[in-house]
Amino acid sequence: MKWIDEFAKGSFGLFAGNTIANFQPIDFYRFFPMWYDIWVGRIAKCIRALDLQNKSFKEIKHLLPTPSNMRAMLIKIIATYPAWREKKVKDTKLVTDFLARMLIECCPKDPFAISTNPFHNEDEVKKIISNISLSQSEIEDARLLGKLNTAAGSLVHGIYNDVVTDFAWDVYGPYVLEKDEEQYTMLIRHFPDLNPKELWPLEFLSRTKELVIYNLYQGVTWEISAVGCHTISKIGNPVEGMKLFAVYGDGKLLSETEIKNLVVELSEKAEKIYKKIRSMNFEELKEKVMLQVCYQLKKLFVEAAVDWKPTGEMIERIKDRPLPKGLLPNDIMMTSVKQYREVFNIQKFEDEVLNSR
Amino acid sequence: MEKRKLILKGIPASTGSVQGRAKIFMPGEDNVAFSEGDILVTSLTDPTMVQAMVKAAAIVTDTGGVTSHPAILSREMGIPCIVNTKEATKIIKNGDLILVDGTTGEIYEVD
Repeated sequence: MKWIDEFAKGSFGLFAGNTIANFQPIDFYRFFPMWYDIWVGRIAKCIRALDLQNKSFKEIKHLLPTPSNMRAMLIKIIATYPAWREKKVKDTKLVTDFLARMLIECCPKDPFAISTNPFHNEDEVKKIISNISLSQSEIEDARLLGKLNTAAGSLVHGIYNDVVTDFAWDVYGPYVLEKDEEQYTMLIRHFPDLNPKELWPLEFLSRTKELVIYNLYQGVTWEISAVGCHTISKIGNPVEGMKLFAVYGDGKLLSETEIKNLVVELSEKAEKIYKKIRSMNFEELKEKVMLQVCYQLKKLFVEAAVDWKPTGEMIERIKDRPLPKGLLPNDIMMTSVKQYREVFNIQKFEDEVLNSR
Repeated sequence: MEKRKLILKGIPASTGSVQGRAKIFMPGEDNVAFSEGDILVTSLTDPTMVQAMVKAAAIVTDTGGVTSHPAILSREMGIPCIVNTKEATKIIKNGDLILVDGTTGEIYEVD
């Protein structure tokens, strides 16, 4: 099967039963076509400069974002491609083939997250379990971790908006494992970057950069479609079903008091940053969103000695200009993979880019 | 004896049933006083109301689906949630005593 077919199945799960609406703070499906061709061209430049076509995921994983983030990049590139000003077919094929290969190598069991996000193999899961310090979970612990997830997710939603939420909020698993002769399902909730100083002043950011929450459940079935921040429980109650947990902030095991304090801190910061976003005008928002998008691949750009920030040409494309109208319909409910392939331009992308010579 | 009247129905997004005072909180509003145990009623949750979300006994929204963030997060916080009621913020008033049944998607006014 071609990767684009599996990609279509996986990413459809994210939109199934939904309409394409409510993006905050601006509709990025209309915004990206104004300048994405330039950005994707620059990613291609980095890939060539570092000869990444000939490197494995293991060799370069330190330069790449989370798997959900790479899937979301593919969705955005493919969906908006028909409206780009300049059709850079070779660059676009290079970038999307590269991202797809990285996903196939880092999540071989389900690269495009049709129902799971298996970022770790069995040996890695065993190693994690033997290295973390798990506590028994009571109902109140599970509720507290739910609040922590809500607070951290909301801060991510402020720092990165709907634009690249997936960059700083991923969920890996579900992993089925055995511990002390009991069987569990584990999810790893990962918030890799809660204080990007390049994007916002410190007053809006968490003091903790990386947060990892390990949840072990019994009797709960989880599903992850395309991106981890939309993980849902299909069967069972996540609060009653949580049996063991551990929370690490910047590598340090957090106590119950520290978790409670973190919920307060992250909630306050989330509220504060979103109020700031609401106070920004349209021109400021466009520039901020462009910076958020570029930040996703900062490590890769730095390694390739290419400036990761928006270029003058990119900024010129958006300055004092309104968003173009109607690339994707905002009011159509996604009901089948076939319809999704049409609406999100997947077929067109396959024909024009992936099948190009 | 307590009387209940069905006033609204939406999509059940997180199971459980709870009674409390409704607090309307619209996106972009500032300084909404929200107490532990209040029921958050909004058109759509956003990060400006996260402090209310972590105190809420239940969440009710006008829009969204079962995979929307308020739905997912409610399930993980173990509180009832009903989404896509279309007009909760119009029908429910601040301070109303309501019962939210996140299993059936029904909202009752309690006398």
